Amino acid sequence: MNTSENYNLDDLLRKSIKKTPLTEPSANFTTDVMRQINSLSISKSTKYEPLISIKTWLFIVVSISVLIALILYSQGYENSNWISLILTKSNINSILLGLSFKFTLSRIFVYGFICFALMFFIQISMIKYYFDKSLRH
Amino acid sequence: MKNTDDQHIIDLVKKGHIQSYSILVDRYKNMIYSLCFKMIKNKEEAEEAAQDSFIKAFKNIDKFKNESKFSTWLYKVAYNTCLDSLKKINKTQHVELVESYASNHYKREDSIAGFLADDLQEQIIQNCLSQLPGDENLIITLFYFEELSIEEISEIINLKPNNIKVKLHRIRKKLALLLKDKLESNYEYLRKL
Repeated sequence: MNTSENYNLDDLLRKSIKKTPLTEPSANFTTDVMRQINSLSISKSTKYEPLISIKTWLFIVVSISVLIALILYSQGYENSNWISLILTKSNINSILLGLSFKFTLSRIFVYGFICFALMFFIQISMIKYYFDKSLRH
Repeated sequence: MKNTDDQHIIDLVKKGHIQSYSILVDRYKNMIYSLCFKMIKNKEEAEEAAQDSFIKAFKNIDKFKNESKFSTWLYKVAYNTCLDSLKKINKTQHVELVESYASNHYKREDSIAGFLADDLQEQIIQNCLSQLPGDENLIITLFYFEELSIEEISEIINLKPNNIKVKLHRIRKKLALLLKDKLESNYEYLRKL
């Protein structure tokens, strides 16, 4: 094809193709697409998420650590000093370079803490069971 | 104007206004369906591929960074969806027919455009276009109908701009031969009347 023919064909194609209407899909095309997209977003919203999020777990761990640290460095009502004894026995105390663990703990606190922990885990499992059951319907 | 408008709708969709996406679907459904139909050459499968393209685009809308036009990005999604769809269908297109035709009639290139009457032009050209393989038909449509640049087409179908130029030249040659053949058969038919 020489240049002028090439140009003619180019021009002809441009004009003719531009004039041609586009093929149309079915009338409910948009509705079908949007229905599928909506069902996608619904399934996204019912996606499983843990009952206690990572942030909450982090908060719990930090809180408990802070609590333990406070207990370790504070004076309690009883002079049991048992942590200090354990540390001395296992020879860890020497590693901790003179940190004195005058750790005292009231029995009421210990019982209370154990009860709280037990109830906490029982409640978590019960709540999880309840949510699992309700989501199944 | 259309691009900034697209961007506004995309921002809304990204913020969670899912229903706004229907504006984009309405705006591009004809073009996307046409491209899919040209590639797949089957109405039902083209419609399914077009729907899949819009759904894929929605799922990946966060990946659209406004580096190109939304339409170019969407055409690329549609092109890849059609390729996947064709792989599934394992459809053999009529490539061989056109290729052999072109090689046999390579020297019969006289002037064509002048012979075509306006009322016949559209019909004959459409007929010739439908005989091209899907990807070539797509390139022609993007270049002449959508008036995309060579660079934009190369972005859509993952080929270098130079390859697109060569492809366009070859497609034009093929079309010239097909048009000439159609013209001759029409001329014979009219003469017999």
